Amino acid sequence: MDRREVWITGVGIVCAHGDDVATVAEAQREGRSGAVALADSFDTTHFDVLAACRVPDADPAIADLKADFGLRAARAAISDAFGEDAIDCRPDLVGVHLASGLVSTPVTEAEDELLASMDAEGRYQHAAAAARLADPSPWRARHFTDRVNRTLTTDYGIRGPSLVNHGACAASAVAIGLGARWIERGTSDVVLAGGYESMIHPFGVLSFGMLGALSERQDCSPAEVSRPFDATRDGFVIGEGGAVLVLEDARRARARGARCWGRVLGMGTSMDAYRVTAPAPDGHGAVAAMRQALSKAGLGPDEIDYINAHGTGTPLNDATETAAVKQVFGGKGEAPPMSSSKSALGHSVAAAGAVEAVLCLLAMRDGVIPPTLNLTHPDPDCDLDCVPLEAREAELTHVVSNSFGFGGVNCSLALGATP
Amino acid sequence: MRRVAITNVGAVGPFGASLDEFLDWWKAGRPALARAIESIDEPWLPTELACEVPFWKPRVHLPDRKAIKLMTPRVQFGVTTALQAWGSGVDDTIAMLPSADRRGMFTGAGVPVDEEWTFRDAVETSIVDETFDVVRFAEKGQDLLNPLWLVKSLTNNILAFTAKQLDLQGDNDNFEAGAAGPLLALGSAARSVACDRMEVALAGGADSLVTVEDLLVMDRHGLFAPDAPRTLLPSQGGAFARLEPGSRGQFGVLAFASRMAPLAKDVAPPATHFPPDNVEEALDLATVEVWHQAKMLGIKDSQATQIRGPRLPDGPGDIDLWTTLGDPGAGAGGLLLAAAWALRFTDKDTRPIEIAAAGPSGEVAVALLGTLP
Amino acid sequence: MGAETDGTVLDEQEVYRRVVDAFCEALGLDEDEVELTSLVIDDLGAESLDFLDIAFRLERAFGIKIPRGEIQRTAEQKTGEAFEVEGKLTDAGAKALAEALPEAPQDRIQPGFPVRDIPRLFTVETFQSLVLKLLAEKQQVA
Repeated sequence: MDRREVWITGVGIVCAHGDDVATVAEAQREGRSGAVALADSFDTTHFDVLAACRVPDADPAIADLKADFGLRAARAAISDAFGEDAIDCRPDLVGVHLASGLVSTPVTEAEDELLASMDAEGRYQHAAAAARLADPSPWRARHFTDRVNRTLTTDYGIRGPSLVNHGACAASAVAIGLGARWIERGTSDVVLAGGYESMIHPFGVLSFGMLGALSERQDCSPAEVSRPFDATRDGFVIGEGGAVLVLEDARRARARGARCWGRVLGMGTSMDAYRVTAPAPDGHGAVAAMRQALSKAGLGPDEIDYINAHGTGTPLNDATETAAVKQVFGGKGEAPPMSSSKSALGHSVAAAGAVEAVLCLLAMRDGVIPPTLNLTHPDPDCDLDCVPLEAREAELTHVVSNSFGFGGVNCSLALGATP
Repeated sequence: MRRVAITNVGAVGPFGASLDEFLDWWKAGRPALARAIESIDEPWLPTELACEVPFWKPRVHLPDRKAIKLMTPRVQFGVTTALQAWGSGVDDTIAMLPSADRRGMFTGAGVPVDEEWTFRDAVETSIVDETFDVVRFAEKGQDLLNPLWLVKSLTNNILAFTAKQLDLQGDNDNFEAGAAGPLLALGSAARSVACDRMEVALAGGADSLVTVEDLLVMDRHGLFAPDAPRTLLPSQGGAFARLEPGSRGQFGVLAFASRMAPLAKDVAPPATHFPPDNVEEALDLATVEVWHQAKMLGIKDSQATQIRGPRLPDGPGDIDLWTTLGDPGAGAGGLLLAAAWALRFTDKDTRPIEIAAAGPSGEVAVALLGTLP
Repeated sequence: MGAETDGTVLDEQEVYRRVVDAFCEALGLDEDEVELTSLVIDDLGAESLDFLDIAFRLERAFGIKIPRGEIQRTAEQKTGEAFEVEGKLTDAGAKALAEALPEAPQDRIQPGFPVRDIPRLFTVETFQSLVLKLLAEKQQVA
């Protein structure tokens, strides 16, 4: 059976640059940072974290912020693809494959839900906990991480497969790759694929901070904290948001005169089988993922024009990723330019792969390679062309986007420009 | 497309910590396994009875002793059964194994629900004037939180720890779809082996409903009341199967299909991992699809043994496991694989075996196992 | 937690017992597998993440606060001038580190030793000494 071609016919994005595709593209071209002071979100005394890449209009009153990002991105993508708030396709041929994240416990909930379980002396009481676990509790609802899928399938009458991927920081890239497979083999004609995340709250920041994964830099402005591939990098900046792509069978899309944003050409996934929170030093998992994506796409390394790196800005990731890219694409001068969008938008964890896939589509459409911000002291271990500081014009036909996650999960997507 | 054989199964549950103990329980007529709860040492519990894995000692089963601290019980069960399914017999000399990038793993796992308990001490310390104080939480509270708590709560830990132990570097996915999850994993693993992407793949899942928060929630929904219309016996455990390219006559995966049950617009988030009430239509559609695939292989649907996951309508000739085994959440999907193995190799049942399970959002998965044609 | 250690001076035996406990719990070891001279990475199998866990358990067992990177910082402060150049110990750096880690295998602490490998020199005694130092400081404050 021939693989069907996968077009991307709609995109929706919510990130620190906003939720409007034109604004996001402009910010990328101008090399703007989306970082603001974390202290704008809550009192950060004793937190040792300066910056965060917040969605600008995020309403803290919304109990489940990450689901809100996911729904906003999905609705925008549907409108973008079909010109209206409805999916023009037989319901059982529409699928949903999204990714959502790790622990999400905003502090407002900690107050309401945990305090309700305390007795007068401030001790946790089981009986009180049981009494407050009433249905429908927002806390419980959040444990059902397919909430966005449920809302979308009911609101749009979707009857095809609906899955949530939990591949940590690689999750939404995996969701896009597997969603594309549904189209390739004819399970679905239209798939909503992407992910969403919000961890800019005290528990979320602490969870990564206590592991030493976040930058603790305080001696600069928030915009200067995220420094992927720089010798002075010391961790990532936390981001948030959501992004959803409408994937569609190309023949169907052509027939209905849909606009093509680009194509999903191939996905590679692998496991490091090394450690839960550190990449294998030789980068073998990342190498396998990139090679597999290229082979699925039927492309050679020399046909890739740009790599959107995982590029978190942790000391380990960037050096390992550079070494892995060299193994696949060759060393300095041979490998294509590579940059990290996390220098501007932070690391939006489960949403990152989908957000960066949208950024790649914009880069191909506009012929602009987004820069790696704050890369002023190149690390000798990260000596590829990382497009420092300023965007660069270039014709981009094929790009690779990398996403690597906790648990040693790796995913690379090969994307193509509009044919 | 290659044929896909199931060459081994590992199982852990209230019957014991091995497939042999599962088969012994099966041969004994599947007697009731409920006992007084022992693993939770809390003064207040809404029920006294549950089906726990007896005498569970993770260090006996998990060679990486250091990793155990990062595994919740459900992850310990999952990794244990995956290692069992992988096996350690003479076939597994390194020289005969496919390379690491041709070894895959697909899991169905429950949602970690114990975060609240992780935070308990830290939150208690952070109360100032009867309100939660963020500054105090950062100053004093975080000292009471183990810095590795995030790692322990990762949803893909069964996959991560097994992959590390067995050096699995190939195709992978982690489905969170209640009891349907492990069957979705089976479907993906079978496809991966059939399409020649993987040379060997593990598929299955494990879970535990014997946790403080699960018990509290179930109680809140009246599931332990003596006159409750729907009752639930909390259980734990799961199973994994090892899939490899097969040949005619071997036991293996014949067909697989999944469908979504439609949800009403105003449907509330599920109270528990129960599938919605209206899964029957999706179950019928998936079953028809599975038999359509089977017919193309020349298999007739007149003779099949059915086993279904908890809370699904009984089919004709359905075998009931859950009344005596309890409900192990997502682990039920895994244990369907162990039950199919028992039917085939203990009961010598050579008919096709139809297994089905459903998840809380209406995910329905059906697989047909049997003699490869 | 802290309450147990407040006001009472722990004898060295008790400190050692609690230190060993922390290592056993963090690394999944039996008591007889942990010795004062055990190298934490090479003998006991710790990974970088485990150091966070070990520090957490020691903090709770003794009611102390262990600043991250404390051991290395002590050595750096002693050198005054350059401790390392391009990630390798200088002559002065090696000397200071050897003094800061008297229990570590001294023959391995040479100029040129990679700074990122310093944790490989840590033994159980390194942590015990740190705990004793922090307990003494706490006593003084009290």
